[in-house]
Amino acid sequence: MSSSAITRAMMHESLVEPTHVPAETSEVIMETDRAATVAWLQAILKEYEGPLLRYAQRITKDLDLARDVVQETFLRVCRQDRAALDGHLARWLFRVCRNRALDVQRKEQRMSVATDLDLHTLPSSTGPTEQLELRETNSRLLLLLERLPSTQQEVIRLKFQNDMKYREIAEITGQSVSNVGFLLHTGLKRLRDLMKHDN
Amino acid sequence: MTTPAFNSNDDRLTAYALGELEGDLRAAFESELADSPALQQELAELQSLTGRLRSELAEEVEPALTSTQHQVLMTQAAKPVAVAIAPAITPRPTRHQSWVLLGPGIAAGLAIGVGYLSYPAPTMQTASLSDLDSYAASQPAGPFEEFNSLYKQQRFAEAEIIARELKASNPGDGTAEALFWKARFARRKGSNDKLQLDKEESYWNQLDDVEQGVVVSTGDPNPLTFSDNWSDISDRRKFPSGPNLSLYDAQEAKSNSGPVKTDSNGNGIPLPVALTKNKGMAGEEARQKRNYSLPQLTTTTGTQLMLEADESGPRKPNQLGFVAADLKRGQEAIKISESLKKRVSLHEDKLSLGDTIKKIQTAADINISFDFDGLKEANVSTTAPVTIDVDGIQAKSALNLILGRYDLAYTIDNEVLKITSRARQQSELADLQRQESENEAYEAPPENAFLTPMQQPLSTFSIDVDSASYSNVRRFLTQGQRPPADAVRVEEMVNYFSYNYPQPKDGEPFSVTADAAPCPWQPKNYLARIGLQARTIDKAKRPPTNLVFLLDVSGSMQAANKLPLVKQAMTMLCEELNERDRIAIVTYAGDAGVKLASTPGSDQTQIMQSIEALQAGGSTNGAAGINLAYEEALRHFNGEGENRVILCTDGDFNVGVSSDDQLVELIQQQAKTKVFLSIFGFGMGNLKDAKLEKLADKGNGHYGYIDDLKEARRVFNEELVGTLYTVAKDVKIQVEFNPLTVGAYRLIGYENRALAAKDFNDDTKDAGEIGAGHTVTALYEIAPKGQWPVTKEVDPLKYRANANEAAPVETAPKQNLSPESADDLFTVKLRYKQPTADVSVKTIDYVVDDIIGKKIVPSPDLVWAASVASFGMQLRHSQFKGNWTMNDVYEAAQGAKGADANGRRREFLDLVQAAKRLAPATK
Repeated sequence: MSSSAITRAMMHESLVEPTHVPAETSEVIMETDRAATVAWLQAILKEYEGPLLRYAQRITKDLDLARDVVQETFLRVCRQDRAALDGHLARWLFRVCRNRALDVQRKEQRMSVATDLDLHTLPSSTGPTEQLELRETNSRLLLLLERLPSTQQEVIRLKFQNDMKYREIAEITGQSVSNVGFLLHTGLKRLRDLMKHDN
Repeated sequence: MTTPAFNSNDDRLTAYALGELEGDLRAAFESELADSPALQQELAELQSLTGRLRSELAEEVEPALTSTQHQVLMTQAAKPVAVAIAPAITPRPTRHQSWVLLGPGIAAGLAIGVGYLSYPAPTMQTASLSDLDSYAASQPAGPFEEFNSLYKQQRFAEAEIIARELKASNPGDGTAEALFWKARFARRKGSNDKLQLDKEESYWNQLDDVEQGVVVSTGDPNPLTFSDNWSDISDRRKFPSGPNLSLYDAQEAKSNSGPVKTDSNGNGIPLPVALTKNKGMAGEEARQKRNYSLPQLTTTTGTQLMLEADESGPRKPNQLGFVAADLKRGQEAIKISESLKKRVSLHEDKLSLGDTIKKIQTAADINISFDFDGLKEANVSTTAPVTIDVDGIQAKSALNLILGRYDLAYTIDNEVLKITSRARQQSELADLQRQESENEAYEAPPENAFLTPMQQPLSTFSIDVDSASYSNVRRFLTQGQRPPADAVRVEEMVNYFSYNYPQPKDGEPFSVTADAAPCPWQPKNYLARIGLQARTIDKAKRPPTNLVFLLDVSGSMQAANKLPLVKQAMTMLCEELNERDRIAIVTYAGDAGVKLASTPGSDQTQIMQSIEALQAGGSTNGAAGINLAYEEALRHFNGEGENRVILCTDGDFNVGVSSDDQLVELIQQQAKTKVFLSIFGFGMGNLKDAKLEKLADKGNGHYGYIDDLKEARRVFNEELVGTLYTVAKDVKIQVEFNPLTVGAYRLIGYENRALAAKDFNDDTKDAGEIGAGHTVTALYEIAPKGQWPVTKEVDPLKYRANANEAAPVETAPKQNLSPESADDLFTVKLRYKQPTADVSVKTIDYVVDDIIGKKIVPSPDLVWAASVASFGMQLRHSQFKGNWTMNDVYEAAQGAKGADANGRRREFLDLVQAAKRLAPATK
C-alpha cells in the first residue's frame, strides 16, 4: 500500500509543529510583555474606545451589541503582535471592528440593506428615550446625512469624524481607493443637494 | 484658452478639497481651477460643507464600554497569550474586479449565471455617473465584496446566505439570482465532494488499519497474539491478484457513478464471514471499525473481491454462491480457490465424469469430493460420459464446462471442493444471505386471511402512509438479494406511489374514493379499492414549523449511507426553512445533548455549521434523547404551526431504556404533547425495522426509510410539506361488507394496522396520520357470494344455517333494508381528528355497488396498485398471491405506468425485473 503510506507521510509532514522558544526565555518575555500590554491597551482604549463604539453602533444600531463588538476588537488586538501593527493600528482596529459588527448585525437579523427606506426608520432596538436623545443632539445637517445610503454615510463619517485618508478608508471598508473617492464625492454632492432642497 | 465645461460629477474636486490629489493630478486640477470661477465656487461650497461636517460630527456622542468590560479587557491583557503575527492588511480587490469574478470549480449550473454576471461594471472614471449613483444607492457594495470573499474562501454556505439576502432585497435582479444559485450549486458540489473525499480517506485508513494490525513483528520477544482469523486477513492481503486493487476498483467504479449512487450500497465488508461471527472482542471491534470505514462495499461487493479482476459481466448466482461460500471458510478455501486458477489441459472423449474430475484433481491439486445425494437429485452418476477438449484453461472454467452440462455445480465445504447439484448449491447461497441479514430485525404478524361477512361483517383498520418498506425492499433488490419476507409490507409498497384521486372539497382534510373491479390474479374475485387523497398545501403558504431533529450519532451511524446522508438530508430540508420556522438539533449517543438550540430557520449559517459539525461516535441512549428532543420542541411550541420531532437513526438503541415496550411507552407519553414524530431509518445491517415502525405508529407519526440521496431529496425537499404537515390524525377506516353479495373478503396488507371493530368509535385508540398531499390506498380482495368457500377452513356450523345457504339470525339482512342496498358490495366510513383536536369526526358513508355481471374496466391507477400489491405478495410468498407471476406484474404495470412524472413507476418496473432475475428463495 505504498500510495497510502505516502499519503500518511504527507499528512504527518504538514502536521509538524514549529519549534518553540525554550521555556525559561519565553517566561521572561511573557512577564515584561504583560505589563507592557496592559499599558498599551490603556493607551489605545483612551484613543479609540469612543470612535470605535460610535462606528460599531452605526452598523449594529444597538449600543450593547456595539459594546460587545468593540470589547472583542480590543481583546483581539491584545493577541496581536504589536510591532506588526505599528503604523496601521487605527486601520486594523476599525477594520476588525467593522467586520465583527457586520457579523453580529447579520446574526441579529437586523441586516439593513442600504436602501433609503431603512435609513429613515430607526431600529426598534433603540428605546424611545435614546431615539429622542439622538434626534436632539443631531443637527439638521446630520439628520440630512442620515438620508444618504449607508455606504456613503460610512465613508463620510470615517473621513470627517475619524479623519481617515482615502487609502485608510479603502482598507477598512475593503473597497478600492477610487471607489472611496467616488463614494465620498457623490455623498457630499448629494448632501449639498439635500441641503439646498431643505432650505 | 477656453475653459473646459465644469463637470460637477468630477470627483477630483472632492479629492482636491480633501487633500487627496497629489503630484501632476493636483497641478493639473489647480490650473483648471484657476481658470474656472464656477469650479472655485463649487470648491468653496464644498469646503464649507466639509468644515461643518467635521465640527458637527466631532460633537456626536462617544459612547463608552461598561466598567465590567474594561475590567475584562484589563484582565485578559494581563494574561500570557501566544502572540499571533498580525496579518498584513491588503486592500481587497475593487468591486468591479471582484464581483464578476468567477471562482474556480464552478458548478455546472453556473453557466446560466454567466450571462447575468456581465452586469455593467461601474467604472470610476467614466461619466456614466448617474447610472452609477443609482446603482450605488440600490446595490450595497458590502454584500458583493463579502460574497466574493466568502466564495473565494470556499465558505459557500455563508456566501449563499449573503446572496439570498441580496436576492430578497432586490427581487427580480438577475445578478442576485445568479449569485444565489452559484453559491448554492457550489455548496452542494462541495458537500458531495467532501463526502467522496471522506469515503476515500476512510477507505485508505481502513486499509492501513488492517495492514498495521496484521503485520506481526518477528523480532518482538513478547509478540502480540492474534486469533486465527487474523491470519486469514493476512493471507488475503497477500492475494496475488491484489485484492486491494480489485477492491479499490470496485469502489472506484461506484464512486465514479456519482457520490449519490454509492449511498445506496451497504456497509458490508470483505471480511470472511467466519470473522464476523467471532464474538471475541478483537473480531467484533474490527468488524465495527471496518463497518464504518468502508461504507460503500456491500458484502456482495466484498465477495466480488474474491473473484479475479479479469472477470467481468453480470455474476450468476452460482458463481456468487461459490464465492460467498469461499469467504466463509477462510484460509483453506482461499487455497482451493487459488488452485482453481491453475491451468489445466483436458483432451477427453467420453471419459466418465468421475475420471475426468480425478484428472482435474491431480492437475490442479485440489481435494474434490462428490455429493452423491446432490448427484442423485440432478439424476447424474459419476459414470456419465464427458467429452472435452481444452488446452491451458483455468481449472474452474473446466469444472464449469463439465458440470454445467449436467446441471451440477460445486461449492467449497470442509476444505474440499464438493460437486453437487445446482439446487443444493443455491440453497447454500440462500443460507449465507440469510446469515448476512440476520442482524436486521423484522417482525410481521401473519397475513390477513379471508373472512366472511357472516362471521365478521366489519373490517376495521388504521391508515398507514409509511413507505419505508418499499425503500427497504428496493435496497435489497438493487443489491441482488431477495428481501426477507417479513420486511415486505404490501400496503407500504402500494402507498409509495401516488394515485390520481380527486382533491378534497373545501374544509375537508381528504377525499375518499371507493370502487371495485375484477381481481387480476384471481379472475373470479373482485378487487376493491379505497383511496384517500389528502388536501395539498402550497409550499409557499405552509404554516410555520417548529422542528427538532433527534439524531442518532452513535458509532453505528458512521457509515456513509447513515450520518453523512442524514446531514445531507437535513441540509436539503433547511434550504426550505425561513424565519417563521425553528429548528433544533438534539443528538443521542451515550449522553444526549442539544447540539443546536432552537434557532429561526432564517439563520442558515448557524444551522449549516451545526449540521456540518455533527460526528458519529459512542453508543446509543435513545430514551434520553427522545426526552430531550420533546422538551426542546415544547419549549418553542407553535400553536399555529406544526411541531415535530424528526428522529433519524439506524434503530440501534442499545443503552438505557432498550426494551421495545419501554420505548414505546415513553413515546406514547410524549405523543400526548401534540408534538408529532417522524422516524427515518438510515443505512442497513443494523436496521431495526419493526421497532422503528412501532415507535412511529405510537408517537403520532410516520416512518420512512432513506436508502439514498434521491430518496432523501424526495422526502426532505420535494415532498417536505407532506412530510411535515399533518392534515388529519387518527384516521380509521371501517368497511362493512354485505353478506348478500360478498362471500368472503381479505384486506391486502395493513396487518399491523388492524383495529377491533369497537375501536373505530373509540377516540382514545390511536391510528395513522395523513400528511398534506399524501394518498393512501387500501385494497380488498373480495370473493363474491357463490365463489366462497374455496377452501374448507371452517367446518359448517351446526346451530346456524351454513353461511352459504341462509344467513344466521344476528346478521340477517335488516327488515327495512332498501332494495338498492341489497345490491351493495360494501360501505366505507372513516373517522379522523383534526391535527390538534381530541374528538374525532365521522365521514359520510361511501357505498360501492356489486359489480356482478357488469363489464368493469379497471382504471390504470387501480391496475398499478394491483400490480404493486401482487409484487409485494409474491415477494412475501403470500398464499393468496393467486396465479400471477412477476411477468404478469411487469406487463400489467407497464401498461398502467401513465405519465410517471417523477420516474418512480419506471423504477418499480426495474425492481420487478430485478426480482424476476433472482432465483426463488428456498425456504
